[in-house]
Amino acid sequence: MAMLSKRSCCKNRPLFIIYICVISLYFSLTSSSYANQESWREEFNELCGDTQKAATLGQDDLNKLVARCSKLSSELEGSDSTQKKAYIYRTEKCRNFYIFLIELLETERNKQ
Amino acid sequence: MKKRDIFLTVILVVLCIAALTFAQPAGVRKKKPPRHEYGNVVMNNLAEKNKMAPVVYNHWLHRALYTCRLCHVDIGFAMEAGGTKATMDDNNNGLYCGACHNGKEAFAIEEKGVPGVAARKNCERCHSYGQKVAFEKDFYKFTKGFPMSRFGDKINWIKTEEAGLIKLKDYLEGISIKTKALNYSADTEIKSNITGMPDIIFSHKKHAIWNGCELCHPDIFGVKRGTTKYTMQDIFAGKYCGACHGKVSFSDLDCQECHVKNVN
Repeated sequence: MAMLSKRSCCKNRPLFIIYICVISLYFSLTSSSYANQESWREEFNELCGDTQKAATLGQDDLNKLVARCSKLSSELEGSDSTQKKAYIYRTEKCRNFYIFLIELLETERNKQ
Repeated sequence: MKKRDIFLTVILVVLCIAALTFAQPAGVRKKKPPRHEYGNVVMNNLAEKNKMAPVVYNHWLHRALYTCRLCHVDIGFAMEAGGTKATMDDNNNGLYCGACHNGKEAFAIEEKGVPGVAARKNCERCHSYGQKVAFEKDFYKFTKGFPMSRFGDKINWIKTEEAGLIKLKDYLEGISIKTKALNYSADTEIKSNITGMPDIIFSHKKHAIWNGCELCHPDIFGVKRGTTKYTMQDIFAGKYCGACHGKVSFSDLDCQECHVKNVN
């Protein structure tokens, strides 16, 4: 019996290898798309989690946040995430708030 | 009386009647909604096109459970009517209404049957415009004993929360971002343009606690301090404070809620 199964395994070896390759490819693709989703989510959380303390930031930091928000928005635009509609809106809202603070800083600097 | 005079009189009367019939009134007073309908929003971007009744969103119940920020910032509902364009696919993907209406946070859009309980669709609980729907929660029973105010839905929601009668949720797992507590700036004094009308004391704290920062800035208040003037007419037209006050928050007719500085 053991001899028989060993023989059939050897006979189907190419099929078995293809099967393993397909499985690995599937997992690598799904995990990379999952990782991509996780990476934009992390970046989003980091960017929009700063709005509460943004009023204490300087202009350089705010400019960096604005640039990162713009980058994230365009990444989301190009993604096929089902969540992108809401997250583009939320990212834009954070970005606009940071721009508002930059303008506020400029106005106050001009007053002095 | 000459025939010509009679003719002219008739013409004049006809013209007067026509003018009165077709003239646009100079000012139309908005019809005051009943208390339980104050703040209601009818959403009909796609509903009727898809042969569904429009959605009636009752602000009073949602605001009694959640902060404004949670829906208008974290979930991403636009402040202007028709601005969100949410679809049922969005809801089913866990966005907008579907962020809460998932059977865990609030009733699901569609409840799957479990042994002993039949499956049911909850379409009519939201798509209720013009329908006879018996809701689980009744405004008058729910708000019985809440501190009162003078206009709008006549509930003083700030005092209601302070009294611990409601506890507003400001965080939704998987949607909200954990943030540090906000450092509130001091109250701001806004000069009134009308002689005798007390100045406004604007509390950033009271507003930020429910709204966060990005709900108001810059979309509603893009003004740079002291450089842009806005009037009560702007507010009555739904701009600035009027984006919330007079629609959902306490009424913009309640002068004493904002114009509170002591007059010396």
